[in-house]
Amino acid sequence: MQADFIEKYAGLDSFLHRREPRAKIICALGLIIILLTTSPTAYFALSGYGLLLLAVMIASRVPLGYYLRRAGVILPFVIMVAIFIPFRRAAGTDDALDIMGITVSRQGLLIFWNVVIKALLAILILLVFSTTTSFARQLEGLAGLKVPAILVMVAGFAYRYLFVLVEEMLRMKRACDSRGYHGRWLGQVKTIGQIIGTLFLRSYQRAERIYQAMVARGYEGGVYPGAVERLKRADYLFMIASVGLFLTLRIIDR
Amino acid sequence: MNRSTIIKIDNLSYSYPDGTRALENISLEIFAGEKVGLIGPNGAGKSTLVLHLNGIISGNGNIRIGDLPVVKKNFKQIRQKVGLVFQNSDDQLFCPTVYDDVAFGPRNLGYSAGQVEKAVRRSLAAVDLAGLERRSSYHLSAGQKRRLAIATVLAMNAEILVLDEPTSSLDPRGRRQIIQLLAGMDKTLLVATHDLDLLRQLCRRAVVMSKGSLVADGAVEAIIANHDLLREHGLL
Repeated sequence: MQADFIEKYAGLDSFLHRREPRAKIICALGLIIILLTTSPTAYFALSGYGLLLLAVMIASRVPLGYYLRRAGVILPFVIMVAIFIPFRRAAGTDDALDIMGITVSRQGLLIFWNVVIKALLAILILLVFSTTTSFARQLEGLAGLKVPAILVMVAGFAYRYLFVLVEEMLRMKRACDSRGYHGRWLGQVKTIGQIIGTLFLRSYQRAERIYQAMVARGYEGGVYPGAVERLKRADYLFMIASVGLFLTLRIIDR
Repeated sequence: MNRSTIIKIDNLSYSYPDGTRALENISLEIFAGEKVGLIGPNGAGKSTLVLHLNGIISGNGNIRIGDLPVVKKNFKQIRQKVGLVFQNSDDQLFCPTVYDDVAFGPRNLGYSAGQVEKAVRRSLAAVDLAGLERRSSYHLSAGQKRRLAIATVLAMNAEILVLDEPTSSLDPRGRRQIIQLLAGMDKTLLVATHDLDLLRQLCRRAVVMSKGSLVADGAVEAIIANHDLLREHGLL
């Protein structure tokens, strides 16, 4: 398992990579709010958002396929939730629409479109942010925006030990496999339970050792965030330009 | 000044919460600038003893670091003086970046941002890891992680370094780098290890622990030459 997978392109250099993480977080949130308040029939504005995002994605020097693959992981969940909306209260009303013998509701179809297109654009906005910002920088950004330090710390731990845990689990799986485990018989379900139990115990012990290591270096419950950089002029320009463009589209096309 | 006592342990005993005796009447005196090896088989109590030195575990008996008794009100000072390097570097390096890991101790000591920065640069340079500040500790090699773990306590200006198995699971080069690094330090060292080679190259004095007790204390050459002793305690 490669930790690189998450941060594969965070080390590139582009105008997006160079922006201060706080600027990017504020931007992403601002754009998502503007996006969510846009009417679903404002096709001009929506395609404008899409084109702007596409331009930013190309400028970030990250392969487009990478964004699409990652969006493709999340989007099926959105579709699964939204797929039934067009079928609600469809039959009998004048709202009904016949598509090849299947009756759907116009209103429902619009809601479906609304959910899917906005989810897709919002996911892409967040992907651009998270792909061009290393996790450590993201945490710095959150801390800089006064997110409670304890939350930032917990997120940091989760990130730091995620792969340690995955590796530990893979090692256990290999140990099982090399002793003839193949996980097909129902009786072997028990083994999976044992692996999970062992993983839990080991994580618990590790947490205890980590805490000792923290205490040994003077930890007394206080959290001292690192120094906060100043936002540069380019960061302000970036925020104003991107939020401004989205807002303009939003206002032109109601 | 050469022979001033820096660690003094008097009649220390400790039982785990489940009642297992882990340490039995340990008394030990270590002088400033000494490099002492603490050897013993698995389960002898080496790690437990080590955790007493800065008050992470408290047993019955007295421990003094310099003039300070290891009691709660002195913990802050003692944890600055005694730098513990744990056996598993992944436990010691818990921050998202190398920089944050080294800065963790100094920040807890209340250093200003500028002082933290200086301490981090100095310590990373001392272990030859300068330039890796922005990396994630997870990506480092085992040898680099071990040196980084040492840097995290150097950053606190520790006078005493206490290392638990500093060469375990390292390749020969990583091992050699750690030994060279430790040999070049003018700090008091207490090194818990099974690695008799490390002991020979780094220490002049060795203390042998077995089943929670100190069973020998003397010059490294004499102890390594005493095959009966080593065999009896599973070290040979």
